[in-house]
Amino acid sequence: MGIYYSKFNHRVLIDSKNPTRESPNCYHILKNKVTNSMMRLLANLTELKNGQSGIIFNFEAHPCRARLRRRRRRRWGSWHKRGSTDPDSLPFKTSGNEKELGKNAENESQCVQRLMDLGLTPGTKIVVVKSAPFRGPLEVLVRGSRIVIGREIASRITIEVM
Amino acid sequence: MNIEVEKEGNLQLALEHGRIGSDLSAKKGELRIALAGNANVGKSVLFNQMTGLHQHIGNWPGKTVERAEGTLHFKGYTIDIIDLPGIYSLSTYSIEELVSREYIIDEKPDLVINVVDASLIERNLFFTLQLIELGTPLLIALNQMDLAKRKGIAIATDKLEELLGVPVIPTIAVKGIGIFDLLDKAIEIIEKGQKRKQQLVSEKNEGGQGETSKEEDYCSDSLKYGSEIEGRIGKLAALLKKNNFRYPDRYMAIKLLEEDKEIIEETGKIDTKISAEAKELAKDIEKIHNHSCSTVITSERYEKAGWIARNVMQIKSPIKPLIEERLHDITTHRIFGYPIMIIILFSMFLLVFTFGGWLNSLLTNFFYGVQSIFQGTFGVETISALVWSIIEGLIAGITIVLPYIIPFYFILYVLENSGYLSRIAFLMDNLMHKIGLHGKAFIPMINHGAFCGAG
Repeated sequence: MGIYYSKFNHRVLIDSKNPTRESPNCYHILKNKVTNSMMRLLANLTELKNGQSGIIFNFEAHPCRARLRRRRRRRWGSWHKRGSTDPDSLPFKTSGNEKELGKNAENESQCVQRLMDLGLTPGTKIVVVKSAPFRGPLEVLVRGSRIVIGREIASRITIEVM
Repeated sequence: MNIEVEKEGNLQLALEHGRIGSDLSAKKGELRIALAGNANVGKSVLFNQMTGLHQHIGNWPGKTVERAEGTLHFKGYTIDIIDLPGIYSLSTYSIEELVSREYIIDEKPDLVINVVDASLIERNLFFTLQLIELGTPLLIALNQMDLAKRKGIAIATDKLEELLGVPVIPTIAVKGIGIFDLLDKAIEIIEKGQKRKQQLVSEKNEGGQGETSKEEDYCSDSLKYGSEIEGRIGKLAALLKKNNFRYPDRYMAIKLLEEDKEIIEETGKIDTKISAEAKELAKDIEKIHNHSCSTVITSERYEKAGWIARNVMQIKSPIKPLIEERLHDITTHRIFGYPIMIIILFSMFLLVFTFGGWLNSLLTNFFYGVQSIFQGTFGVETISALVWSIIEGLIAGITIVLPYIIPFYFILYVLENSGYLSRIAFLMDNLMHKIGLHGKAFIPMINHGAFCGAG
């Protein structure tokens, strides 16, 4: 489940795991008020302040935030190239050749598996202990152990703010 | 824990070390024990304590993963100990994980000692549960008991033993405490296992019935997953039973549901029906939980690990920040971290260069003294001059390597082992990304710069 942008810039709530543009299993166009309150609940890990905690929701980038981030991308320390795994286009990604897409998906699932092996499973409480200066990696506390996560990966971890 | 007994134990261990050559008559055979566990749990310390200087460090064939092997003589056995790389899971994320998994499955060590960090028991048990699923003979070394104590964590080892169905020995590897007990228990388990195997073989010869009960009992009830998953695992395991795979059925069924690439490939070669069935079952689970099946199983496993941890752990005193934690806080501080880093790196170079310079001039003076003696005895003819020029080349090498590079590597070793290098990586990560490198590349870069200057 997630909130995505449709072709026509509507905010859409999609109730399926892997929606494609042709067959989104079920979606609702949302009113601004609803989305805003939903967005307030969900955030990506990098948006937490030091000491703030949340519960891991899933490992898909939070598209509402992605859209916002696009406008302030050139903030200090964030101008290095983002590569082809741009979170903005995650749900409806159709560009690029098939091989590349497959490889991306594989890398991503491996990355998710690694995070889960370290204890970041959905539903787990996570606390941001410290973030490195100059938009560097984040130190988080999960299941009693401290782990450092790169900012790029952290930005793809969606959490419910507590 | 009785320290006196422990000391005696170590003494005995030392005696065993000393008796390598003389006690061949009591030799009972060779055993292989593997050490497995998370990174930074003191596996290597334990390994060093057990094997002393009888080590042999190499690489795993064809892979850039270090393989440390050592021998130990204990109670008449020659024990070959292998230190597996530190990993968090037995999936196929990294080569280290693959190497460990394949070693345990293919080379079948007599026993795997799972080193567990008592102060971080939940994450460590996650890995332990996977080892139990692998169905290998297992013994747990509950290491760093002292650190856990300082953190205010008390662990009921007997309870842990009962819940996991695996023997647990508390150890403090740094001080050598518990190692004798650990080896003692290891031998006991192996001997028991061998006896049972013999029994099975004889039973098989007599009635041919002993085989079926062989691998049924390695998953105790407290370790089972939720019924919706367990049922599907059972279904798959029943299918797998017909074929003889090198992995145990239950483990393989779980890995098939987790969509482990290697395992799917392997089953696909033999029976495509099974992998198709696994896909169906995985989809069912996905539908129930609305997460991918591997996510569900991993969460479920962590849930189990957490449940066990909560059951055996008791947090006693209010947690007072440890000195390590304070050091960590200050060295990764967003303002103070950088001056500290600069001071440490600067003093490192200062130390290396002043000490190196002093030793260098000392050595050079010494060699020039030798030169005059050399020339005094052999003269300055062509041949002796030629010989001297060769010696001079060697001297040049020695006067650089000995005073500069060796102390430098020593300091780097200390910094690495204290964990400070990863703190630097934490601070420098983003800045290094800007020049297209990883945060960890900072130290090699600095060193390179400095030594080009020195050269």
